[in-house]
Amino acid sequence: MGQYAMIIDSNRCVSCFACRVACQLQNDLPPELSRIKFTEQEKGVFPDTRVLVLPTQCMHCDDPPCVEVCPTGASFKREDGLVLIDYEKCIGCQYCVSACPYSARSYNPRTKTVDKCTFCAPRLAQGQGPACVEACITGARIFGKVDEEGSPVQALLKDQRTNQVKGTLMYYRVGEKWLDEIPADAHRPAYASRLVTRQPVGTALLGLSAGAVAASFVLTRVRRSGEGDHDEKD
Amino acid sequence: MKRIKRFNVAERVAHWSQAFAFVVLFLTGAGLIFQFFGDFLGVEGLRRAGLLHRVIGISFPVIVLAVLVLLTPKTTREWLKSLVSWNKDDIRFLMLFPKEFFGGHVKLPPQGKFNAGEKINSLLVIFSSAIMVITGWMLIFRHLFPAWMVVWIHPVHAGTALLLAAVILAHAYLGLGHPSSREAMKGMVKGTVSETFAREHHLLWYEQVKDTDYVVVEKEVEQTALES
Amino acid sequence: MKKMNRRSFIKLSTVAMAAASGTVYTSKAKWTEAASKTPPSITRSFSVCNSCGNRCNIIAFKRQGRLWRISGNPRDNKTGGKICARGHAYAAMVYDRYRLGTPLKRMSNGFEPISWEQAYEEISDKLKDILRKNGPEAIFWSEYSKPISNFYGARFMAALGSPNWTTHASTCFAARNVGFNHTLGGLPTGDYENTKYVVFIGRAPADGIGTSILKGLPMAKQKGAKVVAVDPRLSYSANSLANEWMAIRPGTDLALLLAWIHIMIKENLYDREFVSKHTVGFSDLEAAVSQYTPAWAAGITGLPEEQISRVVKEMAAAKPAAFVEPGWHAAYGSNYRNSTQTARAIAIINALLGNLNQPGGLCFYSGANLGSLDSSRHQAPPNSPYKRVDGAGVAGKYPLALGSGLHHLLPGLAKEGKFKAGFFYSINPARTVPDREYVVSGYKNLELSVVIDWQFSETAEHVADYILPESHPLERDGIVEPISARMPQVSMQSKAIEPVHPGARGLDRIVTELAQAMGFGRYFDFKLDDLNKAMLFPLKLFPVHLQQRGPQVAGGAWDYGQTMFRTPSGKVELASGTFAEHGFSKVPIWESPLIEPSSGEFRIIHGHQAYLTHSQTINNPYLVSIAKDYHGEAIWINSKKARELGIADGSDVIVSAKGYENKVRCKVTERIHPEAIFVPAGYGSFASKLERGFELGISMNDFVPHASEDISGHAMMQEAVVSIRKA
Repeated sequence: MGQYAMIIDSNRCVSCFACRVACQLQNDLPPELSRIKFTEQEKGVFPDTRVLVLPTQCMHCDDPPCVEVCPTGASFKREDGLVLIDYEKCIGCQYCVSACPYSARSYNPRTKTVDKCTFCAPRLAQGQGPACVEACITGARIFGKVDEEGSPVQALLKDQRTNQVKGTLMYYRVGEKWLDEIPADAHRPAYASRLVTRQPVGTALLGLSAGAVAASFVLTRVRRSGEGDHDEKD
Repeated sequence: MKRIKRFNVAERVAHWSQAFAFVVLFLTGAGLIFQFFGDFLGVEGLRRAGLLHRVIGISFPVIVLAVLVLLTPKTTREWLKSLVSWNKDDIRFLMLFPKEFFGGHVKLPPQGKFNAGEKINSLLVIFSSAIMVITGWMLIFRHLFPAWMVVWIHPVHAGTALLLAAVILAHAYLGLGHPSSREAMKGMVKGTVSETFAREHHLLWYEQVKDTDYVVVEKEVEQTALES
Repeated sequence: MKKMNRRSFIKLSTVAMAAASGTVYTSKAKWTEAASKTPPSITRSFSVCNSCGNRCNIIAFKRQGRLWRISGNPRDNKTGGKICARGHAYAAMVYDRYRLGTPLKRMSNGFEPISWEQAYEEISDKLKDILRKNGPEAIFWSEYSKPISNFYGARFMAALGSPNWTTHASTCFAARNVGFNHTLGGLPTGDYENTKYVVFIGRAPADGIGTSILKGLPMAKQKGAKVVAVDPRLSYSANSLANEWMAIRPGTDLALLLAWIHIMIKENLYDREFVSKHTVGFSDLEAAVSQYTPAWAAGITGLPEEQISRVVKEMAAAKPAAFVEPGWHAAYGSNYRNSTQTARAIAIINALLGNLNQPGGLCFYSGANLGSLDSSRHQAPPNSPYKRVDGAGVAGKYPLALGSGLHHLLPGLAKEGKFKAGFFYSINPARTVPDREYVVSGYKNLELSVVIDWQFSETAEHVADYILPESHPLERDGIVEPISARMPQVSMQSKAIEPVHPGARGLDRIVTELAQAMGFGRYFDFKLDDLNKAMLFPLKLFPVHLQQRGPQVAGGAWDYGQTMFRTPSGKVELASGTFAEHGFSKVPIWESPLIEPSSGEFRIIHGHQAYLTHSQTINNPYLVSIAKDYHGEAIWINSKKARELGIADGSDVIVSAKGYENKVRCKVTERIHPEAIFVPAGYGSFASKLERGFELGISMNDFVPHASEDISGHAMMQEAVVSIRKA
């Protein structure tokens, strides 16, 4: 199954929020909850000023920390690269919200589960593109399968100015001076997730305590039964 | 037979509230740390556990604090004061205690109402509980804190829970399973300890209270029944 | 307020629950099986968006009979199927608890629901009384221009004999239209897709959204077109769409344009053939602009002389596939003393470029050839014999103003007693016209004020005697409307869902029933459907075609090359005889703004954000949550000025002008001219019933004094200065 890719051409994005609202209605989200977030950065001094508008959402990591930390297996990665949530398994613990390096997940109080971009998987299943791509007025969002003939992303993926968010399905096109602003590799913050899932120190401590207790339990009884029942200390 | 009052009702209520809260909170939270336990609870079980975790986690710290501060401020103050006052005997106690713990016979130095081990236990529990409460609230109001901070709250909350569990496991064992501390358990259940126990384990405290109304006389029959 | 929010949450939850059975896959297995599933029962209907004045064609998607979401209609030749955030969020308001569902009457202790019969009876009795005592001149109709009210509102006023049918033009685009009408004979549209060079004067098509521009411009840019934004502010449009930002001093666009005309003539950069064949008044123009050198303009505009000269040369080199965009409200729609002549100067530059009706230039696309009601069968009311009370088109007052009147003058005339009754349709002057106090206190002198709308507004809350609830535009048919494009089309706002509030009625019905109650029913002896059929008759179409298939082609394709202009001379009027006749300069000459900020003061400039339309959308939960998430209400101040005043980014500031001050969040940025502060439009709601946006941010209209410009009579909305200090 071929992998999907989304390209966001930041040079074309006019920060109009059409994608955000189209996504919210498509996915029945309450107004306060948005899967697409906008960051903005200004460079230069008046009047030589430019602004980078960077819409972000779930990047669909190759090795997603959210899937790793999920205690119930609700977050999963599908063959086609999409990271999805099984809402029937999600218990709303929000470990994934913390683990996500892109702040792409949020808690939906309406459903009591975590919510994030799915690349509109239900629409993909019907042969349509994601709602945000359909809604984008300036054509700043381009979506398709990486290895499919005639896919809208193919030509742009070959272009040097298309930069992948390493280890994800997301690509950004930004001006030369903004290259540093493209979100970094997802794997860096995974240290936090390992501490969450494994809890090596705490588990060791608990094990130590349990071991000591067991040893004491046995030793006190062995020693004292050998010495006879003279103890008055009790 | 003479018995000495060690813990009043409020102190005991606070202790057992704390104990109850810990057990429930640990069991309802452990599913997220130990996968086998999470699998055992199942998705619906985990959701309910999460709800219970929040209810108990929010209400019990308030109850425990309120009982200690409002109902027995004097003993609470004394307890806290004892936690910060340490002397050479306390250190010696700590050095000798492991041997005692594993069944050896040692002559432990004289101790106050709380021996050095209990003081360590108290300190660890107070410290860890505070962290648990603070990080717990932070997780509930996570949107008020920067993302980088929230990332660290999960491991801190879970890690501290495990530390607390380690401490409380040993503590519970000393109360329930260790032969030489069983009388201490009575102190926390019915509030009084035997005069012998008080003299041998908490000599300094015994000296303070032996001529006061802390001393109660109980009927022999009951005493025998209890001691057997 | 809390209580209401919770209730809406519960209501929304029900929507979500209903949705769960639709396309939302909940389990891993369901995600995986999704591909093999048949689509859930989704139905579509075609309509037209009413979120702003653009009137984009939309598709309304219903799920289990309930409106779910809205998308653009790809068959709309103007938009290519794209709509903005406001269009998408439009779906949220249909079921909103803030909708009006029953007629309301103002009592001493607030509004009281009344029946339609009572409303009609009381309103018509009062109107008859006013007609008898004061005559039809004392009645006006004010609307945010829409096809349905352009017809019914105007016909209703004519039926009463009133000359005072009025739109929002004088606080919007009046100066632009007057300037273009008297130069080119109308308002052309840019051929964005094919252009090589575009200059925007203040217009920000991604902020005050124009979907057709946003669709076409990136295509042109991909082919190498250059875009220049002349704006005191680096808007999101200027930032993303423009290759070059000319950060001009606010109010001085005319100086730049005059210098450009000067350079074009002096350096022989204009289209000589077009000018000699299709224009009049070139020598007058040449003489007038001889003094406007680039150095002179640099001094006034604050732009580098090099930039002024270079840009016009680049533009001229790209002619005729180059144009200065005709704008909308932005810099000269109704903002400065010099705005009408600024619009003239822009029209003139385009004529000098010879770009009119040329590929990549400015085109007068043909609209559909629509029919009208057969007047032999349906008697039309005669035109009012009276002159407009606001003076639009009246000699000695505002002879060149647009026929749709000067609505910002109405409150003052009401105070003078010249108006006794007013109708407000889908317009909110209490918030959108400068000087709140002038507007509200003026309108309070009316003996009868009737607001017709589907939601509350400041005007409804603070002015109306009666509020008549209109059905939501998606619940009813509208009027047939033409789409001007290279391939002209007709479209129609069509009923997409069953009415949520059975008590609300369409404007056509409200006006017809009111006219009947007044005894003028003979002018409304037809149904909306009859009217639509009559309009579509020449195209051999029926309303049902538009309802079931969306926009339809109307007539043959438009072609480049036409050179007839609807001016008195039939040519482009570089010098306007009409202007001279009424004592205005026949060619544009430099005139400074009326008010200049002194030291410590800022000019207050305003503009749209892509997600708000005036005050109309401030209660839309999806749109206002964008504003709240990203602090859209913040005013902009230049970083250097902010440092001088000790103002930090994101902090609160006090904005003050004569007699009024208010606190608001401040965005400190390099993106704005030091002389200006930018106040986003649509905020500062003082209608307590618009709870979600109530008192969020400030409105420029609280700081701008009431005023009128001489030629087109507009409200001069940026002739105002304010002071800023730390809160």
